[in-house]
This record gives sequence, C-alpha cells and structure tokens, in this order.
Amino acid sequence: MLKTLLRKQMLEISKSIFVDRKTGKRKTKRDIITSAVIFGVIVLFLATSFFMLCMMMGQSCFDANLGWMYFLVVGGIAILMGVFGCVFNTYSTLFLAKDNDMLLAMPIPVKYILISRLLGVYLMGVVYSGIVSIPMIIVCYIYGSPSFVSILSSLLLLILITLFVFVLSCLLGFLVAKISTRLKYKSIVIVLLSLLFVAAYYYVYFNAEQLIVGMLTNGVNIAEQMRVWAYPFFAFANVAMGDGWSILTSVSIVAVLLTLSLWLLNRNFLKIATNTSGSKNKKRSTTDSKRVSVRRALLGKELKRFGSSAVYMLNCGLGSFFMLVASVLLLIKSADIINISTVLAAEGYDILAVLGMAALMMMAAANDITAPSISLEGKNLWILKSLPISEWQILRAKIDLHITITMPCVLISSICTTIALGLGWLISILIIIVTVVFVYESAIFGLLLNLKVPLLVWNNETTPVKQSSAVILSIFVGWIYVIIMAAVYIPLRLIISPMWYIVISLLVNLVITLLLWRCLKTKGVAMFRNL
Amino acid sequence: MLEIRNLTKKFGDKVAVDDLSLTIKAGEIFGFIGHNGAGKTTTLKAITGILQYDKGEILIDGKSIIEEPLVAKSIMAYIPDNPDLYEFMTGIQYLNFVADVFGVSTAERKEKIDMYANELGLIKDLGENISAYSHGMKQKLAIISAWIHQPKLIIMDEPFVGLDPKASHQLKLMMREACNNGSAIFFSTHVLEVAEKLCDKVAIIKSGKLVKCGTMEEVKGDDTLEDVFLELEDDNA
Repeated sequence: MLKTLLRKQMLEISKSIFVDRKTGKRKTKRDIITSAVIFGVIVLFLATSFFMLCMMMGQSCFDANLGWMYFLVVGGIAILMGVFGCVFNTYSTLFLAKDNDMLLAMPIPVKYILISRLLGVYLMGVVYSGIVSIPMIIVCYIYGSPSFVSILSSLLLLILITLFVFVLSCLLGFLVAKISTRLKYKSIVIVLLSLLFVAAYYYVYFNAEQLIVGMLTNGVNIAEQMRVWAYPFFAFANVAMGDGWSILTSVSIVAVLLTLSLWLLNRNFLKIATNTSGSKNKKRSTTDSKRVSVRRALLGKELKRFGSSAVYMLNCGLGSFFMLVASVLLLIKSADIINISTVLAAEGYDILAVLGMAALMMMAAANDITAPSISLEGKNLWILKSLPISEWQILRAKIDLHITITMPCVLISSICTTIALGLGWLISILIIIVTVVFVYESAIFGLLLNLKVPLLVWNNETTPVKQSSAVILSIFVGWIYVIIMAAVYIPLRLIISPMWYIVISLLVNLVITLLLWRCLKTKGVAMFRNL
Repeated sequence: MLEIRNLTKKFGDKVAVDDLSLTIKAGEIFGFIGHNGAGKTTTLKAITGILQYDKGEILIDGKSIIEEPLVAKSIMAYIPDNPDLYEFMTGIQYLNFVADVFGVSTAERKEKIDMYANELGLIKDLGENISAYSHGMKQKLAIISAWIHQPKLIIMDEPFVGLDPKASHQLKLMMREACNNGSAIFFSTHVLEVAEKLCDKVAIIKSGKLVKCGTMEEVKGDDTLEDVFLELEDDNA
C-alpha cells in the first residue's frame, strides 16, 4: 500500500515537470527541455555563487587548520537555505493537499499517507540544501586533503544535513499549520515571522565577512567554548573531519529529532488536515453593511485577498518592506554615502542621483502584485464576469491594489533617499516622479503579462504566485530594464548631466506607461473578456 | 425578459450549443433539462456573459448581453452549479461586496440579508469565513447574493444540489414569489419531479439542440416529465 502511495506521490512530482498546468496535457519535448534549461541555469547560478563563497571560506579555514569551522558555517547556510525553501511548501504539501479527504476516506493507515507526503518534502529539502552543501563538499576536497575516511564522512554530513533540513521543515511546517488553525490574523503573523527570518538572514549575510574574520582570529577559543556550551553544533561541524565520537553524537541527535518530529506529525496530522474552520464564529458586524462605491468595493475585495494570503504578501509585496528598511538604513548611513559620492564625483563619476533613482525603481520592481492577480481569480472568475462591472473596472481594481500597497512605501523611500543623498530639490522631485511613474508602469506590465499567460487552474495558490511565468517575467524584465537604464548612464555621463538624464528617463517611462495603459484598455480588456 | 436567438457555441470542432432559440417571459419559471454534457451550463454561461458565443443573439429585457453587458447584467443574477465563492471573505463581506456592486442601499441590503438569511437558516454563520462553509451553506449564500438586488431575471444552474430539505423548500417559495413579483427564472435541473411541479415552461436540450419546448402540459401531455425525457433520449440515441 505504501508503495502505491509513494508511486502516486512520484507521479504528482513528475506531473509538475512533464505536464502543462494550463492545459493539463503532456508538455512537448521542446517545453520540457526549455524548462529544464531554465531550472538548470538558476540552480547553476546559485550553486556557483555558493561555490565562490565556499572557496573564500575554505581557503582561510583549511589554511588555519579550522576545517570544522568551515563545515559549521557553510553547513549552517545549507540548512538555512533548505529550510527557507521548504517551510511553506511543507505546510501546503502535508496539510492542504486536495486529495487528503479522498485518501483519508480509503482504508489506508494515516501514517502511510503522511510518509508518502513526507517523501516530497524530503526531496525538496535535498534540492534546496544541495545547492550549498554540494559546493561545500567539492571545496573541501580542493583545500582539505581528501582521504577515504574524509570522503565517507563528508558524504555522511551531506545526508545528515538533508535529514536535519527535513526535521526543521517538518517542525516549522507544523508550527505554520498550528498558527493557521488557531490565529485570526494568521497571514499577518506568518508574514511577520517570515520577515523576521529574512531580516536575521540578511543580517548574517551582510556581516558574514566580519563574523568569519572574528571566528578565524578566535578559532581556538571558540572551539573550546563550543565544546563546553554547544557541543551538538561542534560535533556536527566535526562529522566531515572524520571524528568518530562527533559522528556518533550527530547521528544520534538527528535520529532522535527525526523520530520525535515524525511522532509529532503522526499524532497531529489527521486533526490539522481535516480542520476546516479557521477562526471562531464572530457576530455579524453592523458596520460591515456600510455602502461603498463599486471601485472601493472591488479594491476592498482585492485587499482582502492580498491580506488573507501569506504566500501572496511575501512573494509579491516584499518590495514594500525592503523600501522601508532601505529608507531607515539610508538615513543612518547618509554621511558615508555622501562621502563616497564626493570621491566618485571628483573622479568624474557624478552618478549618485541616477543610481539612487535606479535603486528605488529596483525595489519598486520587486513588488509584482498584479502579475498573479488574474490567475488568483481561478475558479472564482465567474463572479466578476457575471456582475454588472466592466472588464476595465476589474483590471483597474488590480492596479489600484498594487498602487495602494506599493505607492506609500515608494514615496517614503524616495523622500528618504533624496534626503540621504543630499540632492537638490529639483532633482529630488524628478526622482520621486520617475519612481511614481515606474510603479504604474510595472503594475500595468505585470497585469498585461498575466492576461497574456493566465494560470486559472491550480490546486494551491503557491502555483500562480510563485511558479507562473507572468510572475517570473514581471520581476526579471523589471530588474533588467532598470539595470539597463542605470548602466546606459555610465558612458553617457560625459555628455549628459544627471538632471537631464533623469528628465529623459522620466519621458521614456511616461511614454512606455501611456502605451502600456492604452494596451491594457484595449487588448487587455479583450484578453480578459476571452478568459 | 430573456430572448435567445439562434445561439451557437463551439469548443474547437465540437458544437456545444447548436442554433438554440428560446423566449422566457416575465413571471415565468422556465426549466432547462438535458443529459450531462447536453449544453445546459454552456447556454446559461452564455446568457450571463461569462462565455463568449460564436453565433446568435441573447437579449435580456431587450438589451444585448454582448452590446450592453453592464445594463443586461444589472438586472440579472446568476447562481452557478458549483458555488465557488471568495474563500478569503466572510459570508457577510461577500454579500456586502455584491450589494455594493449592484448599488443596493444600506437599509435595503440589511433588510434583504436578514430576511433571506433567516429563511435559509444561514444568519448565524454569516460572520464565518466562506472557507469554512459546507457546499450547502455556500449554495445558500449564493442564493442570498442573487436575491439581494431584486433581479428581473434569475439564472440558476442546478440550484437544489446540496441544499437541505428545508432550504430546498424555501428556495421554491422564493422562486415563486420572485416570479409573482414580475421576475423570470431560468434554471437547469436533473431533478425532473421538481421541474414538473415548479416550472411553468420547460425546454429539453440534447447534444446542444433544443428537442422540445413549451408549457409543462404541452411538453409532457398525460405522461410524466421523466417518461417524456427518457423517450426523447431513446429516440435520438
């Protein structure tokens, strides 16, 4: 029976690779190869980045005879990468699968259903953590002195990392499920927890060099302290060094944690998977009955959808968060930036204003709220289509949502940036206007992309939000556009002042926005009508 | 109230609705029956403007659903076969959303929601998220949202599926009351006993073509509707 379930799970995984989600038909060979190449390039790009990081760390650590520290830091990054990539998928794979009810109604032991689902979670963790851990092992063979024992023990570390990622993903997935069933504003809580995680991640990332230097300088002391106060971590780091006692300790700890988390999931799976009621039954609020205009009603509906989905908020609205954080950081580091600017200007690179504008646009482009907004209508599309509202009103509501979420942060961020960079009032106003225009431009562009390649049939909203081509294209085309806009100025700086370049950028963006607006009102409306 | 002239809808090479013509007058309850895949849902979706069609014309109170969709939709309500509603809203939020779109005043919507939600036994659950509703509860909510703006034409696709006996009875009363007040109802069903008792007129569709249409007496004569339907199915098999 378990074999049958595992086969079904593998079929489901392979379906996502070989079957077109939109048509439900098998992909053509060309499509499969294209998807494989895109996936391969992304994985290769990430793995190469981590390989460079490992090379940098590995040389320093192995030269200083602190190989364990190398494995501690890079292994930790691999675990973080694996857990970060898996946690939300774990929740949806385990508890929100559409066939849970069907399988639970069959004479199948619950633990078998759980095990078959966990296989998918484990494989996902292997892929995500492997992007870091495989380069880690390769670098260890380059700088360390590989022997038969060290090769075996490093492979054991690889397995332990995947198992530890699996344990953490299961526990965090369980936590997300618990939050989802108990809290009223669960999406907001999940978003806040995720942002905290992201903040911690970036803190470590940006201070990595300082931390590594500190660790290398005090390597012996840290080793002594860890041996006393955090032995499990020390043992984990020493697995790849072939230390027998460390291997025994680490394997035992991972085995115990694995058993505990499986026991916990097995005990709670049925209860969570069959829970349909979110929050307590609240009384009807009379304030709910206040009449509003159609435009506000549609925007209200879009806001409710956005606020109800942690996946949508985190993947498509993260730019707003980054803009606010960047504003604060810019104000704090204002003096340093102005100093750098003065040095650059003295060397003929008066590009700070253009770079500031590009940075603002880059952050604004990270918000792709409109890109999955049509796909998210999914099976609810009939509601909008049967109501007495025009296609244009529907599309405009989606742009309104993007503007409502993005524009306040863009304005705050633009004002802080121009103050921090010490720019004149005229150029500051121009930068703010360019950024505002760009927000409209990216909102319309994302919406048009989604109308062109809608994904209306899905089982889980992560599919249109994270994996649809409209979302991927919207972000990358936006970023590439901004990079080109900034890069073009570097040679042009000799003939055009920053002020005039920003004026030209404003005109270009304005023309593109108006063209996109016109396209949305004509072709976009027609495309929506034909959905 | 509803006039369908030579409606044709194709999906690729397959003709889903073939040259269908129907007229439904104000005050009529019009049943639409046919086997699975006969073209009922396609016809209903075309009437409501959800689906574009290839040929023909659909007029709602004299207004074309293609040329004046907003005017036509503003006097119409639609309940689909599977009430997929916004799961991120509570029941009351959904009703208010629909009421806002149709421009129903605060006082009127409150009166309507209280009345219909009480009659259908949903009043206590309106504050709950729709994601926690059963199929029947969603169906009741879809019915209230359809009735909230007093439509002149109500289009329903299998409206009795999932409803408990009390709600089912209540819906029949609401349908008759709406028609007595001058509205028209066009609905599809597989429950032939219900159609026989409830409908003033009935149309039978087979493989996209209208095979019989008229008052209940004209269609069934001395037989039961079930006998007529089965006979037609056999005749054309």
